[in-house]
Amino acid sequence: MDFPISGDMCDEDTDGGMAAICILDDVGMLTSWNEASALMLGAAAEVPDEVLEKAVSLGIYETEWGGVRGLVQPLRGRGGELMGYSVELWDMSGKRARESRSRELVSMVSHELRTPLTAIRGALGLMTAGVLGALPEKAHSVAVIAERNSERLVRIVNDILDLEKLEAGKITVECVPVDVDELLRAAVEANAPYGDKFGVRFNVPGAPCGASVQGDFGRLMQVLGNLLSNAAKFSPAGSEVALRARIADETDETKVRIEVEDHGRGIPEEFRRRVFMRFAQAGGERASVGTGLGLSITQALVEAMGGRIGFETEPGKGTTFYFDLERTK
Amino acid sequence: MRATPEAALERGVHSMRSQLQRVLCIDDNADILEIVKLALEVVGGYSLAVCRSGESGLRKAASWAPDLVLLDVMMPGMDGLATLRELQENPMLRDIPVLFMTASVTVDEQEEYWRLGVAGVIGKPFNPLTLAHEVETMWRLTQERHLDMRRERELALAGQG
Repeated sequence: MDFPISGDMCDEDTDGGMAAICILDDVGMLTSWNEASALMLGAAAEVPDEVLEKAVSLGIYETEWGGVRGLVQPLRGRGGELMGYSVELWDMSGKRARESRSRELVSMVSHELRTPLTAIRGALGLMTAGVLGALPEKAHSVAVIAERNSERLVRIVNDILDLEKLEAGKITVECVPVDVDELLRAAVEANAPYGDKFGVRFNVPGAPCGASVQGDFGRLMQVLGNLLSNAAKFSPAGSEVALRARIADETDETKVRIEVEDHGRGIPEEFRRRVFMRFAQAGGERASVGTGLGLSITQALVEAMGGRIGFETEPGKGTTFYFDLERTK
Repeated sequence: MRATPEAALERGVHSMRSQLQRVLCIDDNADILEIVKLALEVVGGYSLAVCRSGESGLRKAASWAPDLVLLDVMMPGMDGLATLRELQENPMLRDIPVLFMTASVTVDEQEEYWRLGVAGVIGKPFNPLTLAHEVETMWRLTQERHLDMRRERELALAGQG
């Protein structure tokens, strides 16, 4: 009998060591196991039914349950009949502990960074505002540079903390029905001053959508704020950024798609895969005002509301970021 | 005594000044104290006293009678929470509104602080140019809420009589 052993799980994901393998019969009862799986037999004996069903329908399935990660593969006889399952298991507790330590570290470092930043930003703010007396012209201009960068650092630290809280599940989203037309209006109004900085106008073209979605209004405003400010940064001055909402798909009316369309230069091919990754920035003068974390946060927020985010882009023509949310009306 | 926001209001304000004048700032970081001092004295025009520990802050509060205390939450030794508790347990000091200053403000922490009876929370890093305005606004709101409560109480008493 062949055991499907996936060799590509690296030590960073698990605690290494010998693969833990066990065999279940066709109804999911544990029948045999090797020594390495002895400590995980509880989880092995309780592979959820839906995991077994998925493995049967997909041919092979990998997922987590009860503190382990498992790769489940149906075992079939010559005639193709289901004879049982092979299950390869990894204990995830070591990984969890490392993740939790790393989160604590991020949180502590961010906190330790904020205190000196308070002093630096405070000192520079008082200097550049001239409340401590006028600075010589050149001194003033370098103080302004230092102040601008200290503010950027503050934003980065805040974004890292936000992302960390989102991933640790410490930020809760409270989903209620949200009127989409009202949301778009509010988002345009709140972000118009930012658009003005880049000479870009935010616009809601077309007829009202009339739908409501399941979401957290404040978080949705944050999502749209991020998408609109990105669109403004990458749009030519004098252009318009369109904000639209529509039923996601004619065949599936249960979702509403909200789109932010810009007429910028589009996302370069080589960068597309990294768009939602942390500290990923396509570069360019205007992009440097961001932290490289905005889209990671946006994605995490959309997913926390049960939605899905994506984009379409065409070089030289522009980019449309969209997210789909459950429709309630 | 654990105070609810209502209980904090019940205590009233020790002095009903129309202007915020004296601010006591307690923070273990000398640099931050210097910035706060400049931001509130030069920008805000208030009179400021600074202390680097909860203990010395309590002594200063008793001798100087500030209109408002700006209190750092995370301090070695007696932290902001313990200092707040001491202030609230002292009948001479418990009416002074306290604003927390903190570098970590989650929604949970904010709620906890309000429950403890602070008049507001200032996040770090703060903007030194708007700090005075923020502090003044929070102080004023506390004063107004106290006046409202006093009026309501007087009306209730008049109604009974």
